[in-house]
Amino acid sequence: MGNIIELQGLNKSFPGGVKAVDDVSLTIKEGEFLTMLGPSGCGKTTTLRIIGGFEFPDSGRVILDGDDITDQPPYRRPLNMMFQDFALFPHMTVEQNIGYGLKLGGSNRAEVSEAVATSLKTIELVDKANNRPHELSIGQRQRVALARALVRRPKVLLLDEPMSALDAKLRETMQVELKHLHKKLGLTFIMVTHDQTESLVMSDRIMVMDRGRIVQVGSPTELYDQPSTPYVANFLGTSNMMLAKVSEVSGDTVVAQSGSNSIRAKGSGKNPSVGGQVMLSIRPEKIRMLTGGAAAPDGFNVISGTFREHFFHGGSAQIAFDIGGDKPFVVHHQLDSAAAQSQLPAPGSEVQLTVDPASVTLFENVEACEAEDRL
Amino acid sequence: MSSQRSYAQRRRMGAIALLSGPMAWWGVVLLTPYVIMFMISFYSRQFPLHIPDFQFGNYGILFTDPQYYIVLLRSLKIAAFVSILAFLISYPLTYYLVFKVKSSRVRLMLYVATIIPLWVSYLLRAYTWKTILGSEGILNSLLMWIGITDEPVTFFLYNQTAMVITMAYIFTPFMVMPLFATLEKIPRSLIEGSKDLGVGPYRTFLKITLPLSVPGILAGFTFTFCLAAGDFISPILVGGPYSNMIANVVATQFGMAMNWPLGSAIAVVILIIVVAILTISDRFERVGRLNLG
Repeated sequence: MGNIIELQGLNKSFPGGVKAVDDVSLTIKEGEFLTMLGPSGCGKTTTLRIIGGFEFPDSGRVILDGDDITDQPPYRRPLNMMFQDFALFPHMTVEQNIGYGLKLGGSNRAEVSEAVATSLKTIELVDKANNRPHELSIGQRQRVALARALVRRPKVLLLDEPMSALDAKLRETMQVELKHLHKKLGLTFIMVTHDQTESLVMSDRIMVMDRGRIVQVGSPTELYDQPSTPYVANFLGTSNMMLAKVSEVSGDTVVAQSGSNSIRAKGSGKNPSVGGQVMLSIRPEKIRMLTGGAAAPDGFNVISGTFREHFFHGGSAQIAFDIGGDKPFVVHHQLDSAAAQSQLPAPGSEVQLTVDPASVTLFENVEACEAEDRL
Repeated sequence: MSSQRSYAQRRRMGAIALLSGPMAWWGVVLLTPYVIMFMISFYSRQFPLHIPDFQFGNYGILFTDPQYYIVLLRSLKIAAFVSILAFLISYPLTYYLVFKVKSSRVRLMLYVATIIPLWVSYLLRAYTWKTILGSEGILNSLLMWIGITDEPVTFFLYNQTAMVITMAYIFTPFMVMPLFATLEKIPRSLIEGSKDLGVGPYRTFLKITLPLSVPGILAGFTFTFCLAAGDFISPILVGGPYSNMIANVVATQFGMAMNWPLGSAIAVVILIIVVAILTISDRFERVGRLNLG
């Protein structure tokens, strides 16, 4: 598969000196589902709008399929965007909305009506062809917006927060549908979202942004399991972060002291010097409670903590332990048997926790850890 | 039956007490004059008096005597020109304000600057045009200074063109206000959406922006047309011999001519025309009203 889009050193500032996009370079492969993820104001939407032609970069180029489209207006770019508010024309019917671009693009009447009919069949809204957008449900409007963006056969589909108008249930359904559609069409999708779950579920690759810059690009599992910074670790899922002092380095294993706990990290790929400050990150679902006198597996970390409180999440319980730091140490405990809920320790009791050293992520750059405090 | 009143009863009485003042005002100051005017329009006239009667002679004169229906038609014609001129000035201006001015503070300032003349006396503003268009006026001085003419041009003032210009100036804010409100409500994403679908700016305007601003255009036309058709001051200040408007005729009938029945009949006809315009405009607005949500 070739490259369909190349972003080369994009910069964009807005009046007032806000740097929205700061030296963004990325190559997007044909047929890929790429998600731009980050909190609001991180520059992801501006980057998408630069690709769509609704903003123009101060410097840098946008290459689409070998052509430099940086200075082309949106109506000359062979790509389409699905807008956050769907941008359906209120004075036109569903049919007219879908056919709008084709009709004004010079296709003859027969071509337009055929393409629109096929499109309506695909989104299963044939009976709504003559309705106005405000007569449709939100989910139906989204399908019309999607159909309208795809009917001109763009080289790339841009999606600006496509799920933000939907309620939680419909959102899950649409995430799966959109993923299926992507597979079926083989088209390149570039989506902007601030919803980390959505990005993990849907993307081939995720580009995490912060303050206009790319922080990390990679597959969902790479980003989740090997976050390059505490910012990424915290933005994708939750993580227990703690400052620690390196006490021993042997081979690919680092031992660090955090409070009264000695924690080993294995295979982090980092080689910190003894005595240096590091930050450790442990995902809540990677931690097990040792109950009923069970022993930790060989080589695993053992951390002792005081059971503070728990929150019932249905399939699991989120338990907060006190292990000596200023923040609670959070564990996701699977409630996988009928008695699991009643067997939870009583508040105040001492509990042994265990975690695989391979599941402990280590960050050397403690400066970057300050970024974590903003979250 | 219990002597205590229910909560609902007490609430209703409270509402009546609260509304009685405004309702009395409405009845005395608005409704009664309409009824009196309507009644007098059927009276017959015996100079210098008018006596109660029920006959359609006053309305008959209105539609048979050219000096009345010509003035009525002239009023409608001038109102139409005023509305069109005000629209041609206001639409590009408002479009520029809403879509091209980037800073919302500058936009608001320019908008207020357009509207603010409404707080200045109408009479004063109409008078200003007399000094602009007159033979010693600013326009003539300018033309003579540039050297286009040697003598003051007299055809600027005291004719229907002067009236149209003056009224278009005075009523422009009434066109700008509804247009501004309508254009501002059009989501930017619709315009971007159109461009995204391969349609250039010119056709995007024709297919998206213009159709979506129709309710504002209708409201603006209704305001300016009705205000101009009933205008009474500009014919006196800047109009010439053939610029009498229907409102002036009404004033004459109630004043010098002492013909209240005819004056009332004309007023009733004007009222019917205005109500008809409002109804038609409302009907169109309903058809064109769009659910942007």
